[in-house]
Amino acid sequence: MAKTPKSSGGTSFEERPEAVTLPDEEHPDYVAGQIADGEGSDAGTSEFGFDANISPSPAPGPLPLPGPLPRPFPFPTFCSPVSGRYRYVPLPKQPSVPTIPAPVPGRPIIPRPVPGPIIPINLLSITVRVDVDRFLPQNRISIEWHKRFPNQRAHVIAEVRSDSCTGINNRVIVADIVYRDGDPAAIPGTTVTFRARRTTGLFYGAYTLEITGGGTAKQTFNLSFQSEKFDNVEFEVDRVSNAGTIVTAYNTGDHPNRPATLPVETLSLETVYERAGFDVRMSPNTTVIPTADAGADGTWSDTEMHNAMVTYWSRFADKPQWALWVLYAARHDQGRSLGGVMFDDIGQNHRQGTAIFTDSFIKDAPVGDPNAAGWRQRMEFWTAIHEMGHAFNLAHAWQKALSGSFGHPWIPLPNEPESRSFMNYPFRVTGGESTFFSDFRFRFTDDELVFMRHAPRRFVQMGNSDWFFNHGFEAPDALSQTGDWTLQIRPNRDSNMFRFLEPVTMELKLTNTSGTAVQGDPDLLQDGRHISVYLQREGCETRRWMPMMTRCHEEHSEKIDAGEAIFGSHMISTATDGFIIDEPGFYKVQAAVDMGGEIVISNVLRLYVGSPADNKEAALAPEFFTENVARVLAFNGAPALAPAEDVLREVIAQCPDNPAVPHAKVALSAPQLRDFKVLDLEAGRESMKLTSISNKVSKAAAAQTDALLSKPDAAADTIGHIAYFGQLRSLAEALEEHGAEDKAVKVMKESIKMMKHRNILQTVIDNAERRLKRRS
Amino acid sequence: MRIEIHLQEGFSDLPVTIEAGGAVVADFIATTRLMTGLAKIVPLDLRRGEEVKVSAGKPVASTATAKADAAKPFVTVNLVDGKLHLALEERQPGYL
Repeated sequence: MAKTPKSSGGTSFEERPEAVTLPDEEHPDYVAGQIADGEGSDAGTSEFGFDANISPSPAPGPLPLPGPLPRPFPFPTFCSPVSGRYRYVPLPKQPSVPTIPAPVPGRPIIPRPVPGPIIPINLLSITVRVDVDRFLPQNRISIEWHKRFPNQRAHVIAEVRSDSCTGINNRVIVADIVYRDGDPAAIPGTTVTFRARRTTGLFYGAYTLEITGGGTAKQTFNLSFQSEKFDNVEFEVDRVSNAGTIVTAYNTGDHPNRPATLPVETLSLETVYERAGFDVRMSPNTTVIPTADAGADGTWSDTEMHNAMVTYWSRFADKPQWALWVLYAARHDQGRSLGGVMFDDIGQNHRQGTAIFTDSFIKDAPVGDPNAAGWRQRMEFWTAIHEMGHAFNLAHAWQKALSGSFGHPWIPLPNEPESRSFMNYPFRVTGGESTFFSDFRFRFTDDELVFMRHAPRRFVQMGNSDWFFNHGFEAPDALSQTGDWTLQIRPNRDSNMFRFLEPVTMELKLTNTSGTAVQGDPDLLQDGRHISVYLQREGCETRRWMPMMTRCHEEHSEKIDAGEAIFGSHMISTATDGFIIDEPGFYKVQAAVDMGGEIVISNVLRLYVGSPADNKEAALAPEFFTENVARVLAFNGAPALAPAEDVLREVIAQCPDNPAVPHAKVALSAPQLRDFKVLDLEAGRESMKLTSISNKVSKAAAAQTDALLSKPDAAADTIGHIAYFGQLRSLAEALEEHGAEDKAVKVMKESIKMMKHRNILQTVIDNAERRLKRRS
Repeated sequence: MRIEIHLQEGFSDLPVTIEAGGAVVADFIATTRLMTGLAKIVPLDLRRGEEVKVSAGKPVASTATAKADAAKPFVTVNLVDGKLHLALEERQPGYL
């Protein structure tokens, strides 16, 4: 968690020199766009340099114009820059008539309308980075693909093969995929075509991405422009009180040893990384750190710097983020030989902190240097960019090919010992640092830029091992769907209100709305493997429900007629990490099912969990809402978890009218309906043996009859129809198996009576009556 | 005179022994820290012209020697393709 910075000087905003740069279009490293010889022609196009009067950025939408543009003959065709970041925007679905169950006499079960807005979930997320113009273009298109259900991630990079301006702001860029990461099935094509075109007015208005080739059907995605930059990043710069005046900007004309064609401008830390493709925000939180934090010796160890980062960096968090801390200190424990370091290679999240040491060799200008002060400034500025480059996971120029025990390059890379890059040591090149700076243009190499802009983001993002999105819920019609299926999640009772301690059970109903009979697996919603359920307690993060149990069954399909549905039921308050509905408040719930490529998502259900009705419920909560109690409930009993079973007995005794009681009674008695096998480990793991707890069918039957049939509506409301009638069937079977046929018949008759009373599907009632008839 | 042995690139959990005047003066495991390109700095007090010998590996895979020089008191050691390379430097090596 980020901490409030503390220092003897307090947090302050220190003035930093501003960057003074050439207008982008005047800079030799900037490509403003494309210009063609004549309108509508894609022959003879050429990249245009920095002296065109071309609008540098695509506008977010068309600009209304009063009429046709007067134009000379022939009017040059031009295309404004398109480089930047785009996101997939699903096409709006055609409105369809929703299938609403007709009201039936008796107990209508109609899902209640959801009050308030629906929270969106983005199940398919595509980010496209187009890199063909603006600063130092690398002629790449990269695609970051994340499908949340089923979970599928992929990342590809394509090399541009052609870039055509076919009309005023009508651009077509074709690229061949040369790099893949993640699931290859997600992006099966080989060619990527990016199109930017104007719709009305002069500016771009529509963007699309096509993926073709590889023998697959063409996929087309509608895109929206997000930013001229490939990612956002924040830098926070702090300094130790004895670090002196720190250098965060440098005038490239200050030192005479420089390329003759190097533009003279004042570059800042942010300018360099902006030209590398990032939207840089400089944190306003700057802190002057007391020297005492370095310890008695006054120099900094890596651990001391890490501590300082945790203490003073306002964004510190144990998680990946596009943010980085830069510390200017006087000297490291290693001495003057260390000019800077990316020190953050300890802990779980690396590459979040860097340091520059102002009292080190980087201030030792060569003897006889024509501008020693300018040399020092340049070296300190260069060192800061260099160390920050390590935080972006850039290696030293001469180490790029290292592998094995040293690490792994993301792609095979050659060492570049002579490169003129921020990531090389100026004094390592042939001729030394004077040769280096004589043709250094204050940039990264092309390979380094490709990495920073297009590599899988987890490779680049500070502190990251894996890209993590935040997600919420999305209205079903935001996704393109065939309309062949409708999924409903519902509590199977009139009210969406649940008592405190009451386990929340939901029923899923998947209806064939295609108009024709189809084949489908009737167990699809029940096995736990084909569905995803998401919950969000309002105001909190969305969580995915992970069932304690999934079933692998022999797949089979049956005919599902038009209008017919399959069902499933799950206790969603218990999950693999215990209770996930354990606090009073409003919750939103949504489900999704994979129908062989099409994701069908349900309505968003809003439910309410009440506060404890009395002190007894409140007192039981800490022991009730535990993983072991969740297991006892989810598995319908667990004699090995005796303390958890005792908690359920307490609930029965202390809170007899709480709806959790039928759940507890069923869970405590269900194992007694049969000879219950346990693994006996008393003699040790080597001598473990299987023993059996003898059934107590009579006792269990009495408990279950009481739980399920003394107040049957209340029990069915809370347990849910599928589990309720399933438990009655198990009870009847156990009674029959142990010779109590009369009692078994009685339970079956009560069950059928309740089915009719609750308006259960006629097919289910018919099946139950057939079973009863066989026994009568 | 004071000299510094800078073990730089190529070391990965490798036993290293430094001898001077016929005696072992340092014995350790070296690993290059890729952030800086430096594994370890070993300061030594030697006589002018005294030979310093660096060995890497157990059993020894490579050995290299240099003679202490007051004008070039920094000895850089790099392991390349399994072979140690020593060089004498006038200026203190810098790491970033």
